[in-house]
Amino acid sequence: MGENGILGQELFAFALALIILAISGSIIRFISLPVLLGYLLAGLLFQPLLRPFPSLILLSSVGVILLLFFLGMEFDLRRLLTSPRRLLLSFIDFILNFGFPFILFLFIGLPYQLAFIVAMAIYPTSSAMTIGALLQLRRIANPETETIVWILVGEDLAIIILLPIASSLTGGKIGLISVATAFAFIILMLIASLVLTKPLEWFFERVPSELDDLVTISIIFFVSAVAHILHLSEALGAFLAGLLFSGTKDREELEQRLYVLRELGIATFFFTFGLQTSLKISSPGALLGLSILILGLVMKIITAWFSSIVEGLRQRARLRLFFSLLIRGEFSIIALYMGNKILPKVWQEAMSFFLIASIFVGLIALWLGGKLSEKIVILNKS
Amino acid sequence: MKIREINLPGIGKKFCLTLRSGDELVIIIHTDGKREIFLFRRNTDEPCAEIPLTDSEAREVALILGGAAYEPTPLHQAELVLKGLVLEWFTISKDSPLANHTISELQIRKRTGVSVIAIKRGEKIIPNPNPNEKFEINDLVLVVGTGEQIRRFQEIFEVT
Repeated sequence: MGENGILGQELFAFALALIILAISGSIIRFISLPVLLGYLLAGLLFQPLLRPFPSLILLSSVGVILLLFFLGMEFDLRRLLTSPRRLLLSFIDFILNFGFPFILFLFIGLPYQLAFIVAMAIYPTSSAMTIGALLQLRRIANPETETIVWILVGEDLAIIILLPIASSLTGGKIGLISVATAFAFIILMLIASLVLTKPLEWFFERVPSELDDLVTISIIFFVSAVAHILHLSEALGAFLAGLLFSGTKDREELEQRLYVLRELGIATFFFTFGLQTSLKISSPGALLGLSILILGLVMKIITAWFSSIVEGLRQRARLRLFFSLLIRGEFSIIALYMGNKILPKVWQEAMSFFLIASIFVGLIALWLGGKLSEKIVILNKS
Repeated sequence: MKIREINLPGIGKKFCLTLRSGDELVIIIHTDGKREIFLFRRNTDEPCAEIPLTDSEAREVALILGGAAYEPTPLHQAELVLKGLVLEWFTISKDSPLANHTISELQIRKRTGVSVIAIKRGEKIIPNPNPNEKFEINDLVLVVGTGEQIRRFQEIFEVT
């Protein structure tokens, strides 16, 4: 086959993937579920027809990179530090959902690399899915949503610290040196983000304005690529690139301009995950996955219970919060991708099961949560 | 009015306005420019009304709310401030000390300094009423005076 043929094949597959995304997104939107679920389901459904191909994988990593870039851009350490109460929330969330599973898995005799990756996949609630669902349920203005968003922000920060550790644990090399590289890189970028804001603005004033986006994107991808080469995660690089831009004046404009690309990237990220995830799960894998699911759900409900007390939420908001933190997603997927090399088959199956089940259970809980909390309150009153 | 401004990373900005009625108005400005307005009744945590607006709709609505096109005059206490003089309407209620008394009986000008310049009774308007004119229940009375005099008048005759 000539070069033309390969390009033609790739283009055709790409077009097909986008058409599938558009159709599945529309259908899922029509029954008012979050679109990301539609992309994931489409991926699972079209497994026999499509395999992940290079341009799709590239676009899906663009999605992750821009997702993390946006997180970095919106990240404000001062805001987090000015609220000790919310820092406490994040800490408790971390201890319950990362610390406890990690120690539990060590205790039952898992090697520490494995325990780390599994705990890291159990830990974070999916921001993309949860916020998407809350938007569709029109709960964005509700009092409990503030708490949810803060827990998610805290998790993003924790993940940023966990990522380099995870990549050094799974890299096969002796951990200490790569952990040191990771933290040197983080500190360097933190300093850069503080020092480089003014020079960056000066630079952008001189760049022809029609090249702004190109220059920005090239910086983002350059930092991500460097991070990847250093055996850190490209996601970490993207986050730090975001930090670099967080102090600049036209941050919000930038966010709006890159928004479409990010949405498309995230769509392909979930789609690609769906395409790659085997649905043939052995019974030990399913059993293990189910126990992890129960552990994950229970710990998040305890977290929600604790948070509602700290935040002083009223009854209905409180009950809704209980059902709002259960969905896992993008960061768990990233953790699993990192752990692919070291996870035994049964664990891979179990984690895939856990992830997909948590999305379904979490979404259903979120949906029912609103109605259920209403009923429980009425029952309590009478 | 108390306004709280809250950042919602990944969504946008949230503004909470506590209204005089105790209800809470929540305005969300999304990163993509979309706006949403929610109304929470006093002490509830579920919105009872929601208004989604696009960026341009929101700007249009803001202009109208701001009074750019039409500025209303509050009906009950139509005040006209002219170099320190205040014109004010008030209604004679059932238990008003003014009801069924004449202007001269009450010694309004002597005691407060304000002058009664018109009475509206049903559809009839009585301009420059005679001092022997008796106030009746539901009369709408127009008085003029300085701000201080009007305040004294309101105090003495228990009108608001």
